[in-house]
Amino acid sequence: MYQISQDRLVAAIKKLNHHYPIVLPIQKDTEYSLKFFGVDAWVDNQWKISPIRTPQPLKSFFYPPKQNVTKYPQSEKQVEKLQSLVIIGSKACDINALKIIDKVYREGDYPDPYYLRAREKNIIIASDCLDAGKFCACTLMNSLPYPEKDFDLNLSAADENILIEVGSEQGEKLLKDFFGDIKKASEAQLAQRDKNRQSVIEKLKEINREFQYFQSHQEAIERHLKSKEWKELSKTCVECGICTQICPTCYCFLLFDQPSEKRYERIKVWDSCFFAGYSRMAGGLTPRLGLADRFKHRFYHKFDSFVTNFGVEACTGCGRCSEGCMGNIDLRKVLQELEKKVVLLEKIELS
Amino acid sequence: MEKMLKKTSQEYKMENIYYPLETKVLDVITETPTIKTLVLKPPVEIPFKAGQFMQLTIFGVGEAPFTPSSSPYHLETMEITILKAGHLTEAVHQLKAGDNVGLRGPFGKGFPLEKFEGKEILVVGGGVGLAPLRALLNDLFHNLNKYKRVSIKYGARNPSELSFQRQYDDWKKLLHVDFECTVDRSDGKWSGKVGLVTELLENTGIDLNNSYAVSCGPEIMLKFVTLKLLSVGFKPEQIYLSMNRKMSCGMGICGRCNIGPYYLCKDGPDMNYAKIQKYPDVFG
Repeated sequence: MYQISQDRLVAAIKKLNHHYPIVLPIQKDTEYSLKFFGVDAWVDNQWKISPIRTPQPLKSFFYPPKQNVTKYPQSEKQVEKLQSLVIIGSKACDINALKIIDKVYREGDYPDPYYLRAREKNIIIASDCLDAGKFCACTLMNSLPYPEKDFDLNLSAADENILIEVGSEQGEKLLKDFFGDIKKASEAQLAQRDKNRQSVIEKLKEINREFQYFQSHQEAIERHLKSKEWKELSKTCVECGICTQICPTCYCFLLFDQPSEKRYERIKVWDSCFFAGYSRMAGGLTPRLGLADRFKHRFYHKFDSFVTNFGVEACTGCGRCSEGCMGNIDLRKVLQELEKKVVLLEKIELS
Repeated sequence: MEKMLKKTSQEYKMENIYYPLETKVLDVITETPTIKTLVLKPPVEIPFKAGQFMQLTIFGVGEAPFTPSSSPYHLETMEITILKAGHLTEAVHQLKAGDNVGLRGPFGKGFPLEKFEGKEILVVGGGVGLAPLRALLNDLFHNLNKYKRVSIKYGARNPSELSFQRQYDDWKKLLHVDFECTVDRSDGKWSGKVGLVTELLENTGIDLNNSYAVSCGPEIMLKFVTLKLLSVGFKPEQIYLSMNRKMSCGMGICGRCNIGPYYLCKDGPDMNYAKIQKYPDVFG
């Protein structure tokens, strides 16, 4: 564990930016948003770790919203041409989400060459959450507001300095090459970091006080496979699909072909299971025709079938879906409602 | 080019999973006014199991999944039989001998042929649904001594929509193979059976304790075939449905073809009914 002053951290990032494009959260008014900067394009001497995750999910830099996956004629360099990025300030919920997507894009029978390349090449300099948002729920999803692993470096706040934890060999090298001569963190600084972390956990517990789950989400959803409850739960949904777009673990896509000068190109675009056309076939048949069916499918996939197939829930509690929803649908509430109704169902069955 | 051709179709597939293998159309056979069979000549042999499917690319138009209708034992050419139903298949029907298309695959698990050995197999097709079943039939016929009986029941909307008519007589001549077809509506000249394909499932003489039923067709037909099979005594475990829904990636990722925890493209498209019956979206 090392320590560095705020000024020297900014200088180190600038030095990194001489060699790599960087992605980092930039503050505008009270909001932070994730921005991309080409080599030497970043100028911000006041940059600080963002208090919570940005609205944009980290996944965009591992599988972009729109990516050309096949050009004609095929060039073997198409994958290799992807540039390495240094991603700074990522939060635990996003890093955990990448681990979830890894199960599909990296560890499955057919690894995605572009995702693999990005996972191998991109450098992640993570950071602790210094606060908790109204919709943040990582502690509800068995996670924490700071990353414990799966980063190259992690930044934590302690007194007026920043603590740096090394999480990989690549991180070690990065520290040596770009951060200059840095000091080890003191016991007092570590204690301060732990205190900061604990206070964010306490805040998260307070925010989520009203949400308590007594059984697994999978069990609750299994009981609702054919229930009418979904209609009520989805009644304010306007099918905009934002929950799936900003979700750090949603990974569905559509391959879309279009003519090009040479012949054609194949584009992989993010898709959403909320859209009626998502599973519509030639001839017009749509297996999940009603909005309630599609709404159910999203929860079923995240908390039931993904658990069956991969052993984990496809949610890290980042709260983006609840925050972005125009119909004020809160994921935490939906899960709670489902569970409440199961308790009712059981009572009826017992009597 | 020389070097490229030395790769196997599997190596091509793993190199860039989204890239199709360029393949020449040797011939186009008109099966019915709305169904055509493409005879393709892939640059390398593409081994597949009956029931596994390919992603067919019409360059610049798009890509869609189709199950080969030819034999897994005949790999010099591959046949794919396609109904004109939408934007992409419209373009398929414009193809001529000499044109190029793209192929990705094969994907899916295919039929569990090892389970079928020693059994009576009831094959129920509807419309263009006989195409994927023809790959299965070709496989069954190739090892006919392994199966006790192959009984084919086929239905189409009208007589002109019966596909592979040129082969029915050959099929009927095979030992332990019987074939029966029906049409929903006669055209006046038709002398065969009129009625839904489910009516052919009433008295099949199949040994219910030693058989499997396999079906492919429109989902509405699959639904009623399944209900009929259950009502005549088949158990859900004995029924395999070839569920060919909308698929984009073919490898269990893109998300649109799932029934419950199963991805039809990865775990199917030929699904055991017992596995999927509890899910509400089993029939669309």
